[in-house]
Amino acid sequence: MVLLGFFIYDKLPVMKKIFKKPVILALLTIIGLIFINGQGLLKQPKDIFFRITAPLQKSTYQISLKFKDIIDLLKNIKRLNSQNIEYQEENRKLKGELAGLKETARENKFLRQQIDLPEQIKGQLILADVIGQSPANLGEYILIDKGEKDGLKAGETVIAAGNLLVGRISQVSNSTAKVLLITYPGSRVNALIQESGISGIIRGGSYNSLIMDWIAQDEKIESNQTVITSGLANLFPKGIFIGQIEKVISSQPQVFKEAIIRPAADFGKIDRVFVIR
Amino acid sequence: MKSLSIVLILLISVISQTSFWPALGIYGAAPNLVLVFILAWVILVFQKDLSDSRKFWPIILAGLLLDLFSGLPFGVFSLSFIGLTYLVDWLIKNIFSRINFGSLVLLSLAATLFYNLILIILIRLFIPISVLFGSISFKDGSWPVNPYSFYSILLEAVYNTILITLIFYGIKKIFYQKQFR
Repeated sequence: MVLLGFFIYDKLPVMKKIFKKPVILALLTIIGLIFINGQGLLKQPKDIFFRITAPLQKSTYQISLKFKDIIDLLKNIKRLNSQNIEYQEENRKLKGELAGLKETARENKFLRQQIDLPEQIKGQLILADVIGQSPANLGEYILIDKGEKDGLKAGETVIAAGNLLVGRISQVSNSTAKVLLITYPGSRVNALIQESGISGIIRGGSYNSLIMDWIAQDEKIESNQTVITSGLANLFPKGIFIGQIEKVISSQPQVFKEAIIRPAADFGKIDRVFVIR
Repeated sequence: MKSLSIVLILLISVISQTSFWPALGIYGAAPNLVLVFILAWVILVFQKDLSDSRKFWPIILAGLLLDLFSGLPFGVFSLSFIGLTYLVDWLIKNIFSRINFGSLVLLSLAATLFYNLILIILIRLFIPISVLFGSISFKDGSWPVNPYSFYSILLEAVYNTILITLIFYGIKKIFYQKQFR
């Protein structure tokens, strides 16, 4: 240590010269911070920072969603009228189906009791507000206002109201967590088509769309079929609604075909999510 | 007081970039206010002289704030901004020595494309390291670039160009009447 001290002292003019160069100073500062962060020493300052900025972020995000709603309304005002009629029609149909489903649920419960099967085990749901998104146009994240203090852990599944798959927690701080969206190209979700039971893997596609891969060429799939999580590999619980098939892409020389999936969740408008613990 | 104003401007830019603009973006592209701030800073404050270390802190702070908010490995934004600062300075010194509307547009386009390029390279470099040290949890340790990102970056470049033009001419009109004539 003494020798090192002498060495630094001896070379001080050189050191002074080096430190006068802003690029070296800047790089040393950043590398130092990366190292400190790697050691986990920035965790507390980060938590304090997020605690201070989270309310502001939350309200800014809410305002931006309202702006988005207004813009969407202005854009779609012509289409809304005809859509409204369609929805009313669809609503009538759904009401009929719902009545049927209620009956099926009642029968299902009865059958479960008969074969002594437990009710589906549901994890604890934690409600969180979305307070931000990735600052880079490349990332596929959302930031939520719940963190370690609320018991969240990396890897937990995040859904939106209506059992719609959103993504998985990738990083957790004390009061916030970052959720990696399923639209992120590196994300992989084991999925199956509800109508046929055909399984495949979902990955992020182009902006706000998903691609279902690894579907054998001889399997029959159609547009508008429902895609849900299969629960394989235990990364996501089984039965969460992912989206609907928009288009099937099949090329004969390839062993597998792909399908473009329209996600059920609107990632640009999510303001609240549930974390499944 | 001046420093506090800069910190506030940066904080507002970063918060709006993470919470306001992404929801309003078209095809996933939103303007990059922090990048616009750095461009304006290099053009108006450094003025072809990067030797003053004291003028560097807003650039480092901007990067660190984005690093805090992003889910990407810590340091990628800060290092990208340092690279960007030197590129913009080099372009001003060697190609766009006179700042006018045309050069400002080209400078903004080049800066946005270069910044995103460094960002992609750094992310690809940093993610395997972060996964190795367990500070980030990506299942396969990879970070594939969304093919659609290219269009987002181009759109971002257009947004940034509009913003920097407005900001530059606004500031120039108020504070730098003689200097940039």
